[in-house]
Amino acid sequence: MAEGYWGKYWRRRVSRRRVLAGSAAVGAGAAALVAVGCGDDDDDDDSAAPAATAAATQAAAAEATEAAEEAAAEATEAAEEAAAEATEAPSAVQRGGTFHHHKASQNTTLDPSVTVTDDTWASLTYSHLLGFSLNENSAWGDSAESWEQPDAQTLVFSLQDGLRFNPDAAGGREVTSEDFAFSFSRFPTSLSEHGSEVNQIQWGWMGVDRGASFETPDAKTFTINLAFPWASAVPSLGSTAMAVVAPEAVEAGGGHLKDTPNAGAGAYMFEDISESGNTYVRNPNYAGHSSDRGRFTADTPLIDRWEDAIIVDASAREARFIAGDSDIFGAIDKIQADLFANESNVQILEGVNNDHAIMELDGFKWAQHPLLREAVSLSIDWDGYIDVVLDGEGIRGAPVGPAFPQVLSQEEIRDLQQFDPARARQLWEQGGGDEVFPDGFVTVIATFGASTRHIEFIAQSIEENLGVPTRLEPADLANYVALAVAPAGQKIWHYFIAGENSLPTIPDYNALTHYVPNGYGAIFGGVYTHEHVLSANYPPEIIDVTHEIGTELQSRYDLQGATPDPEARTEILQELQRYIFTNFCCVLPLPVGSTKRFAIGSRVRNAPPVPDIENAASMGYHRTQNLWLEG
Amino acid sequence: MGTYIVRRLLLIPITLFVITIVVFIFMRAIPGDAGQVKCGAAGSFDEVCFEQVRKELGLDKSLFQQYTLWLGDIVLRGDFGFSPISREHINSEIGPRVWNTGQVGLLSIAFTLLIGIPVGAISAIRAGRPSDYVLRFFAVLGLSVPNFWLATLLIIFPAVWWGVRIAPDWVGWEDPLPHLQIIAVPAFLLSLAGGATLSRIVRSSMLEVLRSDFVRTSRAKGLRETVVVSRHVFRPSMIALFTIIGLQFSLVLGGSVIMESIFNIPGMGLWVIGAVAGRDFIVIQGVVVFFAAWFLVITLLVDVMYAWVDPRIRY
Repeated sequence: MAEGYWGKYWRRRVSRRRVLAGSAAVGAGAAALVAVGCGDDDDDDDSAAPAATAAATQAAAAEATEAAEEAAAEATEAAEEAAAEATEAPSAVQRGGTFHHHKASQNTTLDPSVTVTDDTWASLTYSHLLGFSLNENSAWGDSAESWEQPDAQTLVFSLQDGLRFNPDAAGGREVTSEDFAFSFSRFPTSLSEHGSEVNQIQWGWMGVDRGASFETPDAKTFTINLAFPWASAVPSLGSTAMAVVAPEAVEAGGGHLKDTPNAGAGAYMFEDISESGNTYVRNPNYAGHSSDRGRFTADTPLIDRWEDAIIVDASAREARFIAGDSDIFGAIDKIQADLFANESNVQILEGVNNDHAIMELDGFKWAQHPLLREAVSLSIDWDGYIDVVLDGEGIRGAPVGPAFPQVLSQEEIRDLQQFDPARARQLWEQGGGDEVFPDGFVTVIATFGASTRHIEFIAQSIEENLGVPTRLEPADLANYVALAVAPAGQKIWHYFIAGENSLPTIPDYNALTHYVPNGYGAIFGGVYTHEHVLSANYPPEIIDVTHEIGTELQSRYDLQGATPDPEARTEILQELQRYIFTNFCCVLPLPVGSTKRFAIGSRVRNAPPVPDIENAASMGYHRTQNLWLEG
Repeated sequence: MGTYIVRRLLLIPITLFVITIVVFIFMRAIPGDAGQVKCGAAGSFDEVCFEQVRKELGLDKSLFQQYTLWLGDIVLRGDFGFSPISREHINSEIGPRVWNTGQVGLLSIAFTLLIGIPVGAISAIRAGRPSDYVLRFFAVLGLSVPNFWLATLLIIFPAVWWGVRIAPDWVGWEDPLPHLQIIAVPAFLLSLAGGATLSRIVRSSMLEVLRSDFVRTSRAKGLRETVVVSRHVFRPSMIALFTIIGLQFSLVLGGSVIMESIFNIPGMGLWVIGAVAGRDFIVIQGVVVFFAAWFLVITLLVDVMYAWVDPRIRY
């Protein structure tokens, strides 16, 4: 049998002497390589390009940053103006280009009725009836050409012509009113059968599960008959979750779209999904709108393509952004804004901060102890919190977001939410605090959060001023939510401090959802009413108390929702806030930063102002179709 | 030798069996599971979804049932299971990921040799001189400075100073140069500790050999110093290489977890990080067992190589 060329090498005996000689040769070679490597590489002039780019963009970026700083110095009221200046185009609008985006992890599902924790894909690949701007307090038709509200519970939408699904969804057929009816009817099923994270707060206002109905008299007319009046119905329809999906795709997916990438009629569609990121290209079936409407264009969006890279490490994401490889970084604090100030690839937008932070008291433990609840509130150094946790740049928080006109004035909040250690101790003793809570308090501290200063400050404040220690229970992502919403009687914590990171996207009634039983008040705060009892462990003596408070909260909340007159509604909302501040059950609003900062790349033009830019459920940057890239 | 290899080979499945038990128990001991991660949102927790995911994962069965089912699939069918989080079979995921981690690992071993051998050799030849002190200082530095800290600096500073990224977004071999750029930096960082260790071992080995009688004899014969070193000193000092290569394999496994998450390399490390965060027991168990098997095989190979290259070593 003929021996192959390599055969003789395979069979050749390799002596240990040869192996050692080989190793020595490798070593000698390595030494030579190291020596050569020490020499200067004069040919490498790659740095010239970025240097030139940096120099070229520095002037424009500096101008933009200066403009933003000037505007911020004037007042937060001028936020929109500042943002507009910062992103003002020095040249004509340009079409095309790729918007580079990044995020820390891949989407958990691709069904808009199941998740809105990441809104990039849901904003880009789906169409909605309309978009809403918090800054401008106005709504613009997206799929809807026009709409009217003949009475408090009826909304009639006329769909625009030329709406079609993308080619991968239902064969790219025309979108009809039936599709909207189907899409909006899915929420209760998604919640009960498909592990939806889109809870009732985002769609419960329609009352889909409580008697609401949809009518489709023709293919272009879609009517929503609300189960009860809801004054914020139009703004609420701006939510990213309110997407129109192709029923055929849902059916093919087994009743959901968790693994179905292209099932919508948005301006873009997925080109690729991989562990390293997602890419989106234009939906060839997307016709645009019949006219320019706010941040929607009459034509298709100005940007051709979106890339969404998955970058796990925070410093790698930051480097990517600073180097100009990402067009958006996101919300930043004052310290980070100072660090970014001199970066040529960075613009910083500033505006009113609509964040909301809370200290949730577990109703199960606190409901029967009003004096102790008040004592805790009085023991917290609220202004100290602003100085220490918010670096001196904060305002008192309220149950209504700071961007909304119905929020109580700072003066009134200061009156309602006082720091008085002596009175706190007196109430604590009067309420028998040491007997009720002999082992002190427990709170949960997230191991994945960027900062825990706020939790530590409150624990320290309570210990110093009330003499009650708090044990900080660490929790990683897998446990955090489960601990927060554990069944009544099984919560390990006495108070839980949480920031709001998703619901600011819902217009008008965002922060209040934490307080009412229909929102998080029951499952998180344990403020059950008799209708909301989710656990047999809830003793009647406790639920009688929470029922009284919960019913009061819910009825006032429902009343404001059913009051279309702005002035009357403001009055109800302000009374509701006063009720919350004086009852201390079971949420204490925490101070929030007075200014919101958002970092975007220097080439991004026409970015929406803060807070709209991150207001993904309405018209955040993902859905801003007249966003464009310079150069 | 043959008996030794057989004995070691027989020990591998027993060791792996113990590891499977330990991994399985430890995973169940930590609080939280995939159901809690998947079904908890910002303020809600869906118990229906939770039960569904637990059923899908088999978490509703007894611990013994879960363990035997998992182990049975591996032993009888070579099936590491299905991840309900990524919705992928572990077996189909493991290949490309091992390849990605392996590339970084092999390159880091190459860097280790490139750093450790010359530095150790020069340090030994010039022992007691300033250059020796300088090289030993850097060797100690390489051992003491954590590579994740260096990685963060390497990522941030070029971006801040020059507006460039040292490691671009992940691409495969279809773009060879960017691909090499991506894997070279973490490989280099992973090699620093190994290179430093190797340099110190090479130095001490060479010093020992340099003081041997046969080296003195070689010099007395009138051989040039370069010949003495390259022919008579270098070779016997190279046994240390095998120790370091073996160690470097384990370092690569451990280091890949951090390096891959920093440099966004879709290898075993990044996979296991995501799985831990998502309590994806199936993936974690599969990866740990795979890591363990890898390590056992490598250590066996290293031990065998020892005996082969150094006739004095007997098992």
